[in-house]
Amino acid sequence: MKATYRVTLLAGATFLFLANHATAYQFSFTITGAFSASGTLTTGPLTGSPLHYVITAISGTQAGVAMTLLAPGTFGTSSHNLNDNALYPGSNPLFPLLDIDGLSFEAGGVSYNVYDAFPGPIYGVVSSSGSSGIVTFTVTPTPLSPFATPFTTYTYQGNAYNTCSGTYCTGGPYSLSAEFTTTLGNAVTYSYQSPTFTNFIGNTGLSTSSFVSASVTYNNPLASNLNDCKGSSGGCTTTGNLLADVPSSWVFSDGVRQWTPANSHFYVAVVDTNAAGNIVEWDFTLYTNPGFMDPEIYTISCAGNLGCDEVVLSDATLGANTNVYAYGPGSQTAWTQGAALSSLSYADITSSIVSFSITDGSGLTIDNNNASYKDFHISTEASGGITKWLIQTCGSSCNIQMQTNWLSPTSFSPGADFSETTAGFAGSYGLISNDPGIWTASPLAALTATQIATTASGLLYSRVTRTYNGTLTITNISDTALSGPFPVVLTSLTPGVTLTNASGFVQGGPFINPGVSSLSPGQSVSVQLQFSNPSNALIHFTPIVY
Amino acid sequence: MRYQSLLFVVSLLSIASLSSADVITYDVTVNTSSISGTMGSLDFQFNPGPLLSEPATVQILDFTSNGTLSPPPFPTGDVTGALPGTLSFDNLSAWNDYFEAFTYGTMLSFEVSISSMSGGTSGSAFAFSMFSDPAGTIPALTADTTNGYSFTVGVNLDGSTTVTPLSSQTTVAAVPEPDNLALVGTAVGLMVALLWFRTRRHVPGQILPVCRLNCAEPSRPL
Repeated sequence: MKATYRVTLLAGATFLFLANHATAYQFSFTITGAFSASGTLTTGPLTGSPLHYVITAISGTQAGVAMTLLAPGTFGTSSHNLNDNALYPGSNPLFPLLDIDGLSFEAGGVSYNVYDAFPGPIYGVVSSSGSSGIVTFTVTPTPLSPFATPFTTYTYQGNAYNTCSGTYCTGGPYSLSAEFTTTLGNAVTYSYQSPTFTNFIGNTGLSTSSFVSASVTYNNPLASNLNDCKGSSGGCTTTGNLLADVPSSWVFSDGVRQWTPANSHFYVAVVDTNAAGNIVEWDFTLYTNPGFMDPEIYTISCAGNLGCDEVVLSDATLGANTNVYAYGPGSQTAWTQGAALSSLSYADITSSIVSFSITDGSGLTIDNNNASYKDFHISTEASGGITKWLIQTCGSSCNIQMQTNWLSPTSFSPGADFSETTAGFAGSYGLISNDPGIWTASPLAALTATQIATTASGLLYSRVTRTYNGTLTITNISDTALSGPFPVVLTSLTPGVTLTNASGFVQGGPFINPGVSSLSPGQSVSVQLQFSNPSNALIHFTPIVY
Repeated sequence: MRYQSLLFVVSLLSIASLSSADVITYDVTVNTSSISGTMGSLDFQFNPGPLLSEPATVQILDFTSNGTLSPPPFPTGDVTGALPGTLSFDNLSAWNDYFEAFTYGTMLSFEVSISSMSGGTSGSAFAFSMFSDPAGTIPALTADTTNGYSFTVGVNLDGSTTVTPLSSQTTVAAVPEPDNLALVGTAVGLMVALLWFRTRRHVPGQILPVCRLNCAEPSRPL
């Protein structure tokens, strides 16, 4: 037990040394049985092995009396260990919520310790007054408004495999744990309503009172000055890629038809944007489900070489290869950029991933440094919590899949609440059924001026690439190690200037991802910057490191 | 008292040599024999960074070549002068650039003199490029085919510079700055004189009384 205690202390020390700049996690809890209490537990990030949270604060009441947390190692009895305040929220039969060292708090001058009364999730309680008993202990994660900042970190702790093959049958128990940082909270919906149609070619079923209303949602704000080569202006930025940035969800309606992800998919999704990042020219072409080019093609567009406020239908019901048109007076109506979303329907968020790491507990780790393929599909609640997911990664010789409530496509076996990992494509796997583990979400807080320093080199113009090039360096100037991924948002970037090698875009502007997981005190990392600056304006921005 | 005055002067000279704008000069020589006769172009630029760059200047001096310049040059931003005369750049605009068509001979050489101060959060950067076309789109004599630089000089936050060579035909050698040499020489000379003076005045084994009042003349031994 002392060894366990030392390991826990070591894990705690490791946690304290490697300061994660994600904010704390919170869990509501209840204790019933020998005595009753309820409130909120605040923890740091997952740490140690097996992964667990360290409780850093407690609030709530026990029999109407306020509770305060006792520091680790400060309360035990002659027959019971000192507390470690570790929380294991995976609901795993082999790893209950608490370990046998337990959680200690004080209320009304009496100290309590709630601990795992082995075997299984049965919890005991001892107090400084000499009382003891059996209690029921439950926790529920409380999401912390993860979309409060441009970046959200999601953390997952799965349960031990109860089905296994190959290496997962020995030396365990093993379980999946994962963490990824995303720009998901920056999802933006753009809305549009066309003028009423004035001209018709063929029988569209539309009238002069008809118009198109549309909304498209992107996982991230569109970049400024996009030119997808479907318009009349030059300087294409996404030549030849008609699906460079497909909306994650959409609604197109003309009063007769309505297309959503439930009954259509994109064939073309290209837009031009202005300096503010709003859509100024567009070409959206949908194929209606279920088949490719069957049965109908539906296009709305307003681009230089296409009509404006125009609907084109190729509808098998109208006759083979028959196109019919409805279009407006040619006036261009603006799109409206909405506020960031607070929830997301089940969608591909791969493009919004800033960094990720998934481990299976047996030593296998796949992250953005060794994965050649990644595929993230999730849905989130309004609170930001993940409700449904399919995540696959692949490095040079191994693959991890984790999923729950996955219903389609059929290439994966549908199942209710299970996760799976496969190593080396050799059929070695673990499988969990009917218990999806736990996801927690937390906003990634900006690092302060006392933690990180940002400097830059001069910017040299390249006559070959017609870009300005330099480096940005961030340095850990604090006394403790900092955990990544350190995305740098270039806020207040000079108007008309574009970061052409941006890792992505968030509400504050483009960001660049240095791709490191931690920085020791004094350690630096540099990242290349490449700007397009057609007017040769003085390039300036204010960097914010997360 | 005299020792203290001398030490003060020496200290001032030393501090002055550190606190003034650093001037760093490089001799640049390029062997252009492999593209002799080619009608190409030359490019010099000196630009600030995207955060806060301290003011800095660059001069191109003593441009010499058996090739042929083809005026007019195309200056952009804060640059004055024309080759083969002196070019002067500052770093107050985004792109401070001097571009001119040039028919290569077998060599060219020039000096780059960079004056900078420490501070800020962005450095500045100088680059010299050669192209094998008058439009400046095809890099020549460089391994940097992406951007076409023959060498770059980064001005660091502490006022120092970092040279990045990118062309095997180009040599970039730092030269001592005459002003700094004179200043350092003066300081060293004064220190030597001070040591010589103290050695002559101080007789080994003799204890000099501490001067507390009216120290215009050294106290005589008792």
